[in-house]
Amino acid sequence: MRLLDERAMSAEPGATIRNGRISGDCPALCEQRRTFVLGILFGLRARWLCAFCAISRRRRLLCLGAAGVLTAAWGLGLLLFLFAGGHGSLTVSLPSLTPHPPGEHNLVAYQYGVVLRSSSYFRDRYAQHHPAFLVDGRAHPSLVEKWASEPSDKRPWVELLWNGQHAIQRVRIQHAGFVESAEFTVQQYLVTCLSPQAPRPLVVINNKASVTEHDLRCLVAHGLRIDFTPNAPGALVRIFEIEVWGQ
Amino acid sequence: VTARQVRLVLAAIFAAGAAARLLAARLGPVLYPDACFQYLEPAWLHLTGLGVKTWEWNDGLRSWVLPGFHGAWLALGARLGLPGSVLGELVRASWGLCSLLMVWAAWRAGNACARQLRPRVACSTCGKPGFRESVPLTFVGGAPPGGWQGGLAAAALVAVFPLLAIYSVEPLAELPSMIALVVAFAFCAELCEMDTRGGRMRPALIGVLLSLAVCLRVVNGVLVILPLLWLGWRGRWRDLAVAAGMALLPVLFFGLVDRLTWGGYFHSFVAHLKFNLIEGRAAEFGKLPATWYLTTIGSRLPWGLALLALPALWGLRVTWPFVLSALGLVACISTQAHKEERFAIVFWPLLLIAAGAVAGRWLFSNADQKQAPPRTGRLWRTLLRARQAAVVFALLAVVFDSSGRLHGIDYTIPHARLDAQTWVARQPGATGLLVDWQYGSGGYLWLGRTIPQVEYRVELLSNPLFSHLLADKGSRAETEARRQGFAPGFDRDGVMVLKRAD
Repeated sequence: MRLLDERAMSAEPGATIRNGRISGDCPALCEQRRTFVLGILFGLRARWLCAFCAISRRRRLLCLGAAGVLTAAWGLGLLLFLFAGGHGSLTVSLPSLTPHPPGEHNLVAYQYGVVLRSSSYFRDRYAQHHPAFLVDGRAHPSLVEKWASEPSDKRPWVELLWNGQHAIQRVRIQHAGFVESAEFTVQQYLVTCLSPQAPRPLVVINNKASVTEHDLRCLVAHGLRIDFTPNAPGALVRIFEIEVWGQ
Repeated sequence: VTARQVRLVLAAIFAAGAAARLLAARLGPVLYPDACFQYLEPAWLHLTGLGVKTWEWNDGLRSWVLPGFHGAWLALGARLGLPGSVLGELVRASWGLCSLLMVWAAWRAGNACARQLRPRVACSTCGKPGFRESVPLTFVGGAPPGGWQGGLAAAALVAVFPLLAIYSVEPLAELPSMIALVVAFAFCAELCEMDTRGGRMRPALIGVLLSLAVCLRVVNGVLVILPLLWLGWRGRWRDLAVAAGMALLPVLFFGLVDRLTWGGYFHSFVAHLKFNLIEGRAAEFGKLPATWYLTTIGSRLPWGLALLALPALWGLRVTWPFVLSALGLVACISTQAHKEERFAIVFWPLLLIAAGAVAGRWLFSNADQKQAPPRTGRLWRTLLRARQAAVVFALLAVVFDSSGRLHGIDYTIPHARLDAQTWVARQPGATGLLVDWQYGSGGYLWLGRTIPQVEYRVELLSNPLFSHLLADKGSRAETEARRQGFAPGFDRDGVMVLKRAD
């Protein structure tokens, strides 16, 4: 270690230690501290990477510029995050495996590349009641293979969207009672054809059937929306399958 | 030794630290389920509406601050079209680079400790033992800072210590808490050297950082005690008051975030304490004996620990805040039934700084020894070199021995599982993924697609929606999937993805 006597040190623009105590504070140290604070606040790492170099003013400006860019990028990301669409709903896109066949068929079968939107879905570690289960085409689903809304979701809804425009003839829904207790079957819901010339929504009340089929004549539609009213506050809406028949 | 030489060595240490962390990100054990499902997946869930929600996030036991921090980067990356797996790896790598702050802090703290370790001589002006010479606190002209020997050794140990490098890329709350604590300790060490006020910035930062560390990880509150006592003991009451005042800022921020997200001020903090301390329900996740941390730390460095403890204890008159804090943390968390190695990870940088500072003084103290009488010169130099060789050998041995004892880090997700998920995400025909263990995956973030990813059940294999299955090789799930006509698509390191036959 290079030892400096006190006289020499006093001429240097740095803090010194005398009798074991640091005395004074130097501009360089203050500068270091100031940029360090910026680093802490804005997640900048660059300053420390060159902190041990006697960096020039130009370099320092470069570091601060990098800090500014990182800060701006993070701030923009934060805004995107805070106003993310996922907060209110989710969108599931299944790949299109085969084209729609001519003639009447289930427009929302998973292999046709349906897009599903829902207000929420219930999930825990073991059971993901993902909206994709609505279109898996299972004749005998297990308890897991259903879409369920979250308990906090007061106005659950699902939308099933397909490529292009198709005519809808009828909608078939397998409710909770199809597999589990009939008391879980949702009693009230609203079926809407997503189309510029959509007919009036179909209102269903006091439903008790575990499988319901509704005629919904809609000549040109790109999707279907169903708005549910939970049977009780905090109750889940459970649907095993939705089929939209048309051509 | 010139300032330029010290700067170059320090730059090399930083480069080595960065390389160690980037290597750890790719070659080390990959990801704690908690890192993924507590701090990344909630952000992804908020962003996309898809994700696994753990019970803590149903019960409001976690603060949104850290997921929000990650979420901002994830949102930006997702908008730029980066896949989820890349975003996850970038978050890990960025934390690795952030953790280099600990190397910087170790340099500063090591300097401060080593300065205090200089031999004391009678002071001509004050009449009490003190230091005859003056040394610069920072790089001044051509001179390195005083105590650079300890600083370099401490920084080198913190930079390349393998266990620390591995935990430095895990986006767990322990990591930012540890970084904040170590930096606060470094500032504290410098502040406690001063006999003048020295400005308010340093105590303010100490207050913010200590408070931030506790807000991020409540158990680390035990590590706040000694720095505050240290300041008090040195009579720095004004600094203590500034630190206490500034400590309110993170507390208020975390409280406000809880209010906005969970509906009550300090909701997650209270729920966390209630769950862990009052109800003792953390024990539901496993109980271990009180000596578990000691045996685990010992198993990581059976004899190397003694090599670190020796200098740390030798210089106890200056390293006591570091050593006692490290021991205090281990003692405190040993009282809790549920134990995980990551809870005690702050033990390592504190011990490494204390040991490095003293070992550095031993290693590079030839400058002091130049004043030895000439008649003993040759013997003295030989002994000095032997001592230096021994110290270098001991430090290298600690690092290499530690790198060979990294096995058995619990609860990690292997790289192959994450790569398997990424492979599935790239398959254009993938409509659904079954995973044999949901917490053994990178969640929906790593999948990066909106197709369902559900924990395996045998009845789900017949659901045509699930085009792929991720399972351990030789597992029951793999056997059953093969029986049902699934064929291998990805096979690496004991992890398989089977694809439904067309």
